[in-house]
Amino acid sequence: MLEIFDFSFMRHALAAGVLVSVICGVMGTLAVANRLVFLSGGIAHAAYGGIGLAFYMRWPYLPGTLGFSLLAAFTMAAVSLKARYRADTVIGAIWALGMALGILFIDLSPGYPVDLMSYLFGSILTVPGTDLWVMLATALVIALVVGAYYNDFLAFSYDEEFAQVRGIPVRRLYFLLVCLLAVAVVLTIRVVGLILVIALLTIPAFIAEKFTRSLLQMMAVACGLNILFTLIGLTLAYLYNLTAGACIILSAGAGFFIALLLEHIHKRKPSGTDVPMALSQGK
Amino acid sequence: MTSPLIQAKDLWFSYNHDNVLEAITFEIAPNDFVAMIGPNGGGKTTLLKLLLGLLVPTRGCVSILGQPPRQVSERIGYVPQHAAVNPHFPVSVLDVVLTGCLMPGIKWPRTTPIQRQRGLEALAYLGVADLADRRVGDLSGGQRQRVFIARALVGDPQILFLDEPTAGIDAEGQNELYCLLEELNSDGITIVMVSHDMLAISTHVKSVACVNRQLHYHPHPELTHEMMEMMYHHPPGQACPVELLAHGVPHRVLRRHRE
Repeated sequence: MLEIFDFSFMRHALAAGVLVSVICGVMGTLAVANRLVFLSGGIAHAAYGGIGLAFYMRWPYLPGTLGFSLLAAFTMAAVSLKARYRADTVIGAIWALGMALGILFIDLSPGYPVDLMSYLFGSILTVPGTDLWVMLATALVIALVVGAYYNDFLAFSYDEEFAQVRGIPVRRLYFLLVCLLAVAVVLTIRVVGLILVIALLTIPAFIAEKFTRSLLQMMAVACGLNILFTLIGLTLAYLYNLTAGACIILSAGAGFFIALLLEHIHKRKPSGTDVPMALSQGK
Repeated sequence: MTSPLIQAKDLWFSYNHDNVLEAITFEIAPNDFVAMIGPNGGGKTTLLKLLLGLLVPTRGCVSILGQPPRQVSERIGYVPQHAAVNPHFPVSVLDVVLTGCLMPGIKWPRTTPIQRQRGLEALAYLGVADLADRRVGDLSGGQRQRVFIARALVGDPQILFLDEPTAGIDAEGQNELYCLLEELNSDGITIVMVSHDMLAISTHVKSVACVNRQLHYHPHPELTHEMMEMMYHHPPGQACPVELLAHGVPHRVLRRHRE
C-alpha cells in the first residue's frame, strides 16, 4: 500500500491534503458553529470570478483569486450584518454573479482556454511545491489567529449578544472570521475544487459536533476526520484511477451517513453517548 | 442622596420610523431592585438593550456609573431571554460560565485555575455545580437559566440585568429565582429585570418601571389600578380579569369571569 508514496506527486498530494484538512477542520468548525456554511458556499462560487479574472489579467492564481474572494466575502458579510433576514438572498445573488463573471473572463481571454475542470473538481495531484509553502503559512496564520482569539470566538459563536455586553468587538470578530474563511476556501479550491469545498468544511465539523464538548475538541476531531477522508480518497483515486477530489468527498460523504446512523443507534440506547467508541466506529 | 447608578436622559428609539420609546428619562439609585413591566411590544426589552449598550438610541443618552454602557462592560452582568443559542453547540457548562469573565483583547486561550475556581463557585451558588462538565445543550430550561445567571455573576458585577428570567420556569423555580435575586440585591448588587409577571414582582422588588413607549417610574412596588390601565389600555368596564389590590401586603382578588 505504502508504495504509492514513492511518487513525488503523491507525497505532494498527501502534504496538500493534510494541510487543507487542518485548515478546513479549524475553519469548518467555526463556520458550522456560526451557521456560515451558506456564506462559505457563496465565497467558494464567487471565487470562480476571481479565477477567471486572474486568468484574464494574467495574474498568478492565489493573489488574484484571494483578492476577488475577499471582496465578495466582505460584501456578503456586510449585507448579512445589515439585513440578516435577506442574507441568504444576497449571498445567492453574489454566488451566481461570481460564477458568471468567471466564465465571461475565460471566454474573453485569448489563447487556449484554461482547464476549468481542475478548479471545479480540484487538482490535488498537481499541486506545485510553492503552493504547499503558502498553505503551510496559511495554516499557521489561521492557527495563530484562532488561538489568540479562541475565547472571543467561543463567546461570540455561542451567544453573540452576551459577548457584545462583555465588550467583545463582535463586528470585527465577524469580519475576521469571514476573512479567514475566504482564505481557507480559496486554498481548498486548489485541492478539492470549488464545487466540493463545502464538504470538507462542513461534513467533518458536523460529525465532530455530535461527539465533542468544546470548540477545541471539535476542531481537533474535524481535522482528524478530514485527514482520514483525504487519505482514503487519495488511496481510492490511486487504486481505481479516479478523480482524487471526488474520491475524497465520497469518503467524507460515507462518513457523514455512518455518523448519522451511529447517532440514530445511540439515541435508541438508554445510556448517554460514548465518545471514543462512536468515533472509532466512524471509520 | 446617593448619585444615580444608571441614568437615562430623554431617550428616544425608533424602528422603521415608528417610535418604540419616547422621551424616557429616569434614574436608578445604587442597590435598587427594579422590575420593568409592560405589555408585549411596549419596548421593555428595547429599553434593556439600550441600557446595555446593545442598541444605540435615536436620541438621548444612557450612562452607567457616569459612563457610556460599553465602557463599563466588566461591571455589568447580563442574563438574556432564551439566548438564541444553537442547542447542539459543543460547549460545557463551565466553559459557558467562564465566558462571563471574558475581557476584550488578546489573551492566552486557556482560562486560569482561579477563573475556573470562580466559575465553579458561581455554579455552586446557584446549586448546579454538579452540572459543570455537562454539555450545555443537554440541560433543561431551568438548569440553563441558572447557568446563565452564574455566567452573569462570575464577573462580579455591580449591576445585574435580566430579561424575562422566569420565562419557561415552573412556579416553584420562579419563587426560588426571586428569592435568589433578593439575596443578591441585599448583597449590594443593583438589579434591573424585565418581567411580565406582575403578581410575583409586587412581593420581591423595590421599585417598578412601567414601560409602554413612555416610562413611569414608581419608587414603591405597588401596582395600582391606574398603572394597570396605563399598561393595558383597557376601557373602563373591560378591565383585565385579574385585578390586583396591592396595599403593602400582596392581596389578590380575581374578578368573576364575564359570560
